[in-house]
Amino acid sequence: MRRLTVLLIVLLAAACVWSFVVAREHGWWFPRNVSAFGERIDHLFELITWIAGAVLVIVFLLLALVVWRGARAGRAERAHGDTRLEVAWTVLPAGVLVFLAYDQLDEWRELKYAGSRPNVPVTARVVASQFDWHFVYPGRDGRFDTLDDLETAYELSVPEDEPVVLELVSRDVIHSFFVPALRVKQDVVPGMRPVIWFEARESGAYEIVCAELCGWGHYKMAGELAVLPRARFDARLVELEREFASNGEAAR
Amino acid sequence: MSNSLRVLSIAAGLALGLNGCGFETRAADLRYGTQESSRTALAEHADVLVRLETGLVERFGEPVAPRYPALAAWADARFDPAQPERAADAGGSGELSGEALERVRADNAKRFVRELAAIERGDFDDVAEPRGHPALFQAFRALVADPARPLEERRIAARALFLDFYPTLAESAELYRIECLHCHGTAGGGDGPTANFLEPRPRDFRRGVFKWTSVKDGGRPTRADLVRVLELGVYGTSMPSFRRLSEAERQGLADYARFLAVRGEVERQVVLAYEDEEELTDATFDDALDLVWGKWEKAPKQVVTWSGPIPEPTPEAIALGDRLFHDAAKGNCSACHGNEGRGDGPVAFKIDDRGRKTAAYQDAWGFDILPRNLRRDPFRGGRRPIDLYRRIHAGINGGPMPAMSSNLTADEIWALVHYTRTLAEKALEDELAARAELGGR
Repeated sequence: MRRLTVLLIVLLAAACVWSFVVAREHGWWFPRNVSAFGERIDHLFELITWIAGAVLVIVFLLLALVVWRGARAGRAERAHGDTRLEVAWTVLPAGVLVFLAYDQLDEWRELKYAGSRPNVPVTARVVASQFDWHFVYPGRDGRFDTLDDLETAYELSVPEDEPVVLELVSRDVIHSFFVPALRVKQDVVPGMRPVIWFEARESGAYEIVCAELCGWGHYKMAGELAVLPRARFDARLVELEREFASNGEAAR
Repeated sequence: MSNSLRVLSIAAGLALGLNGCGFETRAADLRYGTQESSRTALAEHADVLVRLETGLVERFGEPVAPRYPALAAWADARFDPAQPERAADAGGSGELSGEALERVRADNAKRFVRELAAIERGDFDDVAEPRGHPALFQAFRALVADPARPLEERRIAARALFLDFYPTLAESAELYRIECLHCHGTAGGGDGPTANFLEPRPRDFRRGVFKWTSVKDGGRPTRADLVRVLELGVYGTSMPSFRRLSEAERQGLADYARFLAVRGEVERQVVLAYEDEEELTDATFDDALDLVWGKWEKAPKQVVTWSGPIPEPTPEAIALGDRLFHDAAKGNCSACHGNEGRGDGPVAFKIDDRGRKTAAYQDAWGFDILPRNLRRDPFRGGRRPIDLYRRIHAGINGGPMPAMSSNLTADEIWALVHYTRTLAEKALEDELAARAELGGR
């Protein structure tokens, strides 16, 4: 019984570690990063995964050790704490957390602080509502809520290789704007207008999803980020403009 | 483990198991049934109600195998509503126009890019079943497995199979079951299991009344109208954009929504005719079908359009719109939409018996309806100038918004369109002014 328990614990730890190895080999890891900033997010993620992985292995091995030795000792004995041990298991994790908090300061500042926002006008406003994404471009006058705003659903087009700034708005509940390929994720809280920025380095179509459980239709809340070379991005806006100015004679 | 814990965990397991699999209806067991209005009207005539349902099932099938009834007019026009893409010359029957067909093909080329590439290489075994398209895959296997045909011919035919993919009515019904049924209900009654959690409630298709159309005189929507709603969603409601489906699938869903609407309308028409004539024969069904389909067929001819580019929003036009908006003899918009467009006009509200302020109007489906706040809310039928022009020109089906075309000239309607569109900007200016007053942020 004791041997079996220890074996199970060790196997479980091995399975956890193994699942990470397999996931990478089979491409079940993150989608390929296309954001100029994404590598630094990935680096943070890797760092945290390594630390958490190490902690996992250590804890499981300790558990196995305790089961092995404790069971051999016969009955369990009641201990009334061990100050040195308690200090150790408080200070060590705290140290790890402080290190992580310190290590990511630069990334946090560059991604979230208004002072780091690239000095370009807002490309589009992202409007989240149950259960889809709408996108509003400011139009030729560069201002929102004016007559020439252009609006579309599902597909957000942004230019390639340029800083892009998006303003996020929610019409009802908390949503989260998540573009896995860009490593961009931002909660959209009603009443607030968070602003995010990124630079997409590769044209293509990428998935937009809602990363905050927002209701029964959460799973339907998908969109597409179309990263286009500048010329095609401009053409896309002209296309939207043309559709906006439709006189209804075409089929749509 | 203590006994009570054991009992508790068994109960929890049982509850989960029952909830997870016990109550789900299998696709094959779904039934269209009859509408509540029919059951009320025929409450005294149980046999007629049975004949009504049998007659409908005979003509329209059930969700697992829906079919269009045979209509003499369709045979004459060689129009097959189950395959609108094959009926380019049918004229006016709501078929796919050349442009829509091109979009379907272009989207199919994108959707089946891997399959098409494998076919191009002649590597038929490399084509896996595309998700959600078992019938298409079967047809493909049957086609390429035929050794009698030369390889090149099979390749061309397989390519066409994927490029021209258009769902059958049964395939669209299955997609409807997955994507739409939980709100719109099996028969399109707007009574699916999630419908009760929505405000506004999902549309009941069975009256044939649709709000966001391009047609006048309370006409039926065109196919393009339905497809547009599926593409963009109805902004401001729970109807989301279905751009994540392919163009062919959206077109197919529009077909199916129209099918459900026609079926529901026929049912209502048959009940009306029965109440008039006290008899229910095949002719009652056929007449009802002709009458109902006639309305849908007419839709493309009722579309409100404007020839030439839409007028510019000049300051004069906006000022004129402002006057008309508040002029009780002309636009009179402010009566409902309020002086500032906040949707708080006096006519839209009444005081009920208990002294509470409630909606003065109900829509065709019997629910309270309030005017749009034009400063803040999204325009549900689209915010393009032509959308607003249509809304003012033709009114909104099923709601209290009236058609203004008899009261206003086209120029006056455009002036109102442009004025209405400035209200959002006005709201922004007010907000900025208020912030500045508070100390500015």
